[in-house]
Amino acid sequence: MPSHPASDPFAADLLRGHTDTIVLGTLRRSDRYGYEVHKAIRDATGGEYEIKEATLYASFRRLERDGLVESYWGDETQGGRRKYYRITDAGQAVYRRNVADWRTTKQIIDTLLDHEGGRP
Amino acid sequence: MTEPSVHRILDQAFAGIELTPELQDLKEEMRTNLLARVAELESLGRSPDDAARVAAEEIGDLRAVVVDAADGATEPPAGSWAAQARLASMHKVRPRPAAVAALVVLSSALTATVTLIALGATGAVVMSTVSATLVGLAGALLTCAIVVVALRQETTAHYPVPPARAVGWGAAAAAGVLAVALGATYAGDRTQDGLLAATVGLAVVSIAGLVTLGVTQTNRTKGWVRDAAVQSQDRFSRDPAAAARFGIYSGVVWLAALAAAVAIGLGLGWLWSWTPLVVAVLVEMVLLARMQFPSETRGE
Repeated sequence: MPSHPASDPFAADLLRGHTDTIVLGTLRRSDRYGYEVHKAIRDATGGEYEIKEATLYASFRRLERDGLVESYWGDETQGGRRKYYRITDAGQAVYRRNVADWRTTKQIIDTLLDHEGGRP
Repeated sequence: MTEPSVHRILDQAFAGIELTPELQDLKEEMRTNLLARVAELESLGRSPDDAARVAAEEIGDLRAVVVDAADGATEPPAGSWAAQARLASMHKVRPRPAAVAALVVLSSALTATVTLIALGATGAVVMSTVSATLVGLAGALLTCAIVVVALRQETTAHYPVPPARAVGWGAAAAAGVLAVALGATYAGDRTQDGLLAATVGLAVVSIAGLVTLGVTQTNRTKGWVRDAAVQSQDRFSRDPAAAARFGIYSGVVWLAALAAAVAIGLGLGWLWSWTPLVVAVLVEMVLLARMQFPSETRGE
């Protein structure tokens, strides 16, 4: 497995614009702490895409500032305390809207690039 | 070996930046996540040193995040009404349409039920004991549903109550409503001793339930509301030094006033000796106003 899969130019730029939505997506089912989110994204793409943890912290800060996620400290008795993130209703709404926007955009780009059914 | 490496990475990222509580939290969060990654790499067979090195390489530009966070921390002075309004709009949670619709329907039904119970109790509508009990039961169930639906909603300022606890509140409230309904029926027909027993029993259950839930209720106020509450405390609670200064100034003002009163009393006669005390009250008020609301709030 390459150690920096996201440096692959094909996806990195496109994906970067959707970091916040991707992070929100990982929090929809359950609260997670930073490293869990990192792992969830990596595992979901089979290791093909990884968000750098630094990028993740910046994303959490934006999302929390905008009221889309909320954080709380876990009560682990062993090891370091984990800061968990929880998606708010506002976050759920933004996530749904961004996904809908993405579907529309994808359709338009597919049409413009004359790309149907996965074949150019 | 891994621990020093991880800690060194963090110390470098936070070097030269004053550690506010918020930044301390960020550092702690980063430490936990880094150690989790190192542990994972080690479980994949990397040596501890190697794992720490790889984790450090992977993490990206922590320094930029820290600097950004440090800038952001000093950004809003907060505490003002404008800042609170901004926070409230930022954290605004809109009511779910389904919940609002359900609450309107349930409340309308409950109003009708309560009206019927009241009419039955005053004798305007004649009901058998059985039908009165059924109406009471309907009212109790509706109350339960309203309470549960309302408590399960997230609001701008509060988290939803956990399901079991919400049902508990609903059941306790329902028992109370049923007790009132049965009590009203008993008031109309004093021969039904069973109704009286049920009324007392339900009232006890309801009160015990509400008290238990009340004293064990945890704080579900959201973090930003709690922060805003601290920010909007008056100046003396926020700043003990200002409170101490105010105390000393007050002491000086009143001592001076008393001394002046005695001096005037002895010199000019006791008829005018009260005037320094009036001046002291005025000075005290101006002092309080200036210290409690310093003129630093411009620009809001």
